[in-house]
Amino acid sequence: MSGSVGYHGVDLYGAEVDPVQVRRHIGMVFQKPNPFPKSIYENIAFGPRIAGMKSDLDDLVEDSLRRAALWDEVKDKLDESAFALSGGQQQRLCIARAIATSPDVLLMDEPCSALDPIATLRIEELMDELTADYTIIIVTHNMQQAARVSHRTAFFNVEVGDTGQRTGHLVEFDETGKIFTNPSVQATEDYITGRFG
Amino acid sequence: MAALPTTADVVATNLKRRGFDMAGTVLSTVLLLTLLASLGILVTLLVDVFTGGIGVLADRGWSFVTDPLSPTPAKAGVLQGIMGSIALTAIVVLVAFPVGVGAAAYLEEYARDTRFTRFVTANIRNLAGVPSIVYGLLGLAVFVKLAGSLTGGRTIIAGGLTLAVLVLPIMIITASEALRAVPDELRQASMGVGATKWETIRHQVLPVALPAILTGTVLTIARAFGESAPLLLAGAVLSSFFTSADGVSLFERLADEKYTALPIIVFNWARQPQEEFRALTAAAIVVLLVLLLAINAAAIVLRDRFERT
Repeated sequence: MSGSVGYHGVDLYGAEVDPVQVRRHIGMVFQKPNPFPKSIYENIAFGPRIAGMKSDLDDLVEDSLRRAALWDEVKDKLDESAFALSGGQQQRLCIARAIATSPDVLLMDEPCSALDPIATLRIEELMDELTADYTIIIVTHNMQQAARVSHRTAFFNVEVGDTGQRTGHLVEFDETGKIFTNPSVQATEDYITGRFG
Repeated sequence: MAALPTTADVVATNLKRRGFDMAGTVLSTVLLLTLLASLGILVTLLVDVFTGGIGVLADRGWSFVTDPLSPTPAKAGVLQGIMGSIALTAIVVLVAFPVGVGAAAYLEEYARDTRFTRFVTANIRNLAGVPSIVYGLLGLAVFVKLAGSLTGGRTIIAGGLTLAVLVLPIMIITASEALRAVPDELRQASMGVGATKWETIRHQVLPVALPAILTGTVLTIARAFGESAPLLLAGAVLSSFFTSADGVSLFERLADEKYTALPIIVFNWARQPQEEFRALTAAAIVVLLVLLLAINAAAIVLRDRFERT
């Protein structure tokens, strides 16, 4: 591995960096919705509770669910299992869970790849609202989605080495508008024009 | 000239149900027979035991369960055996459950997958297959002799510890499998909201694995409950068999050096020359089986309750 991932000037791969502390600043939403096998309420409350919050969890749970545009759908069944929700609702619950610990950054790893187009649209609208308060880093294989939701785009590609090992590398990073209309690297242009991928 | 068969005709012919499936029928019959054979043996055993013991149980009723041991067949009961077995089981659970779950949690959640951990895991599996009499010798050497000052020698504590060590490998294996069945997405989700490894295990992984761990614990208890060989070596004796006076306090007897357990009573009664003890042995086995069933039932209820929350 080469290069570094900086967060406010700190190299996150540095030896003295505690991954647990990093995760408290950078929330994560996974590819497949992965709620805890607990009630909707407990899904949100777990993060703040282990972070040491004891009081006012009710308000925090409501606030997080409202921000994730889920409150109206679940406010009457907070005690029910999170598994009773639909896939799209589960993913919004996971987003609510991630923002409940008030991170600075939300990392979303293909958050819509397991969802249908309507649920995807809701998540994308939600992301748009959340950008007011959070920096969102989204990984996606869907070019239209990247063009729709992002302000800046980084294009990653994979190189296959001599011995067959696959190494990902950053090809180009720029304003989304520029990447999709006038990229400066040939590989980026090949990808956005559909010559491969 | 005959018309060529259409595609629909060919498909209809191909899809038509074939004749009698000989090999499939034979195979399923053989499989059914193996099931019936094992069930048959079990039923024969149960019928034999119950017909042997039903006379005693019908005549004596609860007094067979509540009477202490006695050299007189007409007065002999299994009270000390029940108390001894329950006390032994309690010690086994108190020792083997936390140690077994802890060891499993370390192996599954913390230990890296090195050649050494694989060696350890393989040997835990081997230990689960070691004959129980060997554990009896271990119990005698370690808990009775070496740690005699702590356990008090041939006491129920030494016996309970011996059984705990006997079932520990099974406990670790079942707990490991329960932990391994917890999906990694759950761990990632928990770490993702900033939980430490320990918080993840404590609040997310263990609660999910608990029903399966409890099922494993039931099997473990059942195994310990029926063991006699290690107890014989580690000091269980039919203490008051020929000497007991009625009315000796039970707790006195449990705290005494000497203790017994239901399988030990069965073992000893089966060796008695008097004809009456045949029926008593069968009756004692019935009590043992009923208690095992009760333990299983209780654990299933417990597990279901955990699963619902």
